[in-house]
Amino acid sequence: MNPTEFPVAQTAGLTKIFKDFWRRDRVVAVDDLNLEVRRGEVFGLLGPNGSGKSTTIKMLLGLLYPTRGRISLFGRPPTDVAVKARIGFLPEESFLYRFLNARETLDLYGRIFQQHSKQRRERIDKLLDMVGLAAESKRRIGEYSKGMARRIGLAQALINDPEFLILDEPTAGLDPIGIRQIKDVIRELASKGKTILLSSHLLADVEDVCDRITILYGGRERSTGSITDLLCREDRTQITSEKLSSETIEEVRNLLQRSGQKKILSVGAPSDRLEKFFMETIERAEQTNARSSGARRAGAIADFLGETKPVNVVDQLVSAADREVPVMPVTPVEIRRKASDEPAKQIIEQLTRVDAASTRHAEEELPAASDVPPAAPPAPEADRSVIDALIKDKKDGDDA
Amino acid sequence: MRRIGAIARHTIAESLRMKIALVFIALILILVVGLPLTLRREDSVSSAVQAFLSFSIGGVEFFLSVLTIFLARTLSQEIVGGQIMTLMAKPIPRWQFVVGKWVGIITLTGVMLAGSGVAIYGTAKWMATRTPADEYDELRLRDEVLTARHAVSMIEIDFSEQAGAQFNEKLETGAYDAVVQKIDPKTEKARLKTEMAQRYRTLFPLEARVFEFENIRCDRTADRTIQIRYKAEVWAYAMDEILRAEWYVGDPDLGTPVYQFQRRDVINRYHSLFVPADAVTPYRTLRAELHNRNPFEGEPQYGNTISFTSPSDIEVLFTVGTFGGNLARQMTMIMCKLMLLAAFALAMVCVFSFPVACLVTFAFLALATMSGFLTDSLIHFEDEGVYWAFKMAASLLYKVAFFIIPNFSQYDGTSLLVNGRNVTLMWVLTAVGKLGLGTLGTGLAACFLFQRREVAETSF
Repeated sequence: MNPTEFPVAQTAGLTKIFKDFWRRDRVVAVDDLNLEVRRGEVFGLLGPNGSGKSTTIKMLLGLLYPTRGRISLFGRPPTDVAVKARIGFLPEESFLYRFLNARETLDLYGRIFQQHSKQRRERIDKLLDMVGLAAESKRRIGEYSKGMARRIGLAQALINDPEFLILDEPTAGLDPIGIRQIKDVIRELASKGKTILLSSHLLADVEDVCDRITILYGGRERSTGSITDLLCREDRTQITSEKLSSETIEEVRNLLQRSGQKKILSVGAPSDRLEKFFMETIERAEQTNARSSGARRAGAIADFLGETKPVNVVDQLVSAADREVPVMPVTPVEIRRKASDEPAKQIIEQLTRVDAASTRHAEEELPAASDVPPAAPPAPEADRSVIDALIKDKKDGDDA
Repeated sequence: MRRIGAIARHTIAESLRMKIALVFIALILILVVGLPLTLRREDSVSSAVQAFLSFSIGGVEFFLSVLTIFLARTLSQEIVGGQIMTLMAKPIPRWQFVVGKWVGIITLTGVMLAGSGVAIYGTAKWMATRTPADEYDELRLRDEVLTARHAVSMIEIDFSEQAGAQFNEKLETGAYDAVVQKIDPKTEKARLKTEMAQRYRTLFPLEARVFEFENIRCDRTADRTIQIRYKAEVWAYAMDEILRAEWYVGDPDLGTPVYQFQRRDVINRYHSLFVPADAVTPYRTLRAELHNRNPFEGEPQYGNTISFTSPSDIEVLFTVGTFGGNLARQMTMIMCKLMLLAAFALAMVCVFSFPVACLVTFAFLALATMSGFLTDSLIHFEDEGVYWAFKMAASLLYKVAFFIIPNFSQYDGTSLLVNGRNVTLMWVLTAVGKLGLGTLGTGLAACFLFQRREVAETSF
């Protein structure tokens, strides 16, 4: 394996069984999981509530111990303190000290990383600015909204400029600004060579930022691969152009018909996503200096992030060997799309319908694949005249 | 060290901001400042100061013990509240986290204990400025309460030779003939020796006896005093229950002045003679002669027999230090106990939820404080039937429990401090050593337990 492709995090046969008071197996949370997070990628861990995402992350961080299987982070066990110096972690809830203010919170974590006071102060200022809480930094976190606390949670995860960032449900409780910001931060950090493991059940978030994903259900891996591979619709073609007149569309339709191609399924003007529209509205409000006691629009990403150069992998392997820490003999997990699986998009749609309280064993498989092809994407706001013309043509054709 | 410091600092900040520590600071202030106001003004100043010292030191130790247990709750809260997950995902070894917590707890309690010590010292000195009831009250306050005295018991005369000689004589004269088969020479000699020693400490009417003391390392200037403290059993006393006797203290053969004391003492109580310190010889010895006779003409006196049951019933006390030093040493011993208690409480919250850990730690504290009492209580059970069985079971249980749980009452110098007795440095060092070892062992156990614990909640 090319050293640069050496996985940052790897699990082999990872299993976690929670036991009851009498040490009897209560529930299988993670079952024989093989994961591989590669250097520099944004890796998504998807699944409904209770699918084992958070348990997997807690085992990666040494907060839970596996019942079976092995874990390797930077080639070392997850309990290795040196490894943790290279990791940033945002838990599923912010889990902060309510009696501290934002600055004190970040100061505490900076001290744990043994940062000098000057460096600590600089980083805290930049992070507070980055998450848009510089003006509220003296307020106790107990007074913060959930979203504001989440922002501080993100800031604490970045205080050490981590090489590997683990984000567990990072957008939970955030307003659209915060969600957008998190995504921007993830993209920015990825562009600086950071490795990111993102756990979420909000599919749009994952789709927007992840390079590769693994879908978990009942603690077992159901599908793994790159977003592009998993979501690509080989049976459709999409053309995007400047706005066309109805005559031109008619010509295109006729051209396709003449060339024996299939019919156009939808034609219309693409609309902006609601997220973009919302961001523009907020931006306009801020320009009018409207009052708000909440988080401000976030600043630019803190410039110290990305300063830390990834450790030379060869050196790291040598040092790991010196310390006689067994590097787990994990067989690299290949990107694969299980033949038996449904198209990923359909799985994702099914996952969104899964009962959140479900924690049953993974033997309960997903519903059988439907023969019905995936539904066509909803038609965007369109030029009604063009649509009407197309419908009319279709009717005429049918009548004939 | 910086990580340990960060956790310790955080623990202190948490306990102050969550107002746990503030509540206890208020309680201690009320105790130390309010207690003197509640003491009766008509009591002698020395008694009032003694009562204040006894209650305030005991109260401070109790409050700080409870605070120590509550401060361990911060770790429990972090586990329940999930903050531990964020912390343990950072590069801090778990043992450093536990040690940091412990350092935070003992730093806070240590500062509060030191503050309490200063407050107790200041209040006691302030109380001492009140007008004493009489001259004796003033003397007692200075030389029996606000001081640190060392005690020396009378020199025991070795009667082994005389006991042996008497045994041989009895044997030769046939005194044991009737019971010769039952007499064990060794036991009989020991009995005779004890009998002779007791006879020496017994004064029949009009008898006199010399008691000698050594190693009296005091300031021998005449304006200082030493005390002879005694408690005699008296038979055939007068109706007013007053023993009248005469003391001569000093050794003219070694050039010291001899001081005469004519005494009226209530029987069966402790009494003190305040003797000028120049009665002590340059060889650090003291000679005291007791005459069992009534020096007061016209006052009733019957044929009293005076007996001192044990050698420690007559002792010489002399100043070896200050009240402040004594108080500091006592506070050091309390601190040693709090350190062990903090380690134990942390070990418990590493395993149990806080309510359970709290109960177990309180049980530990109660057993450690009452271990002497509990062990002694077994003496009162009869050696028959169900009582015997209970006694055996309790004895076994205590042996196991007190093998693990230290005896805190062994390291309680409050009663000594209140009576102006020296809390010796050696005693403090013993407490530091033994309780320190206990703390180390308990702390290691806490680190081990926390290392094994899965800190994340099972919220999958």
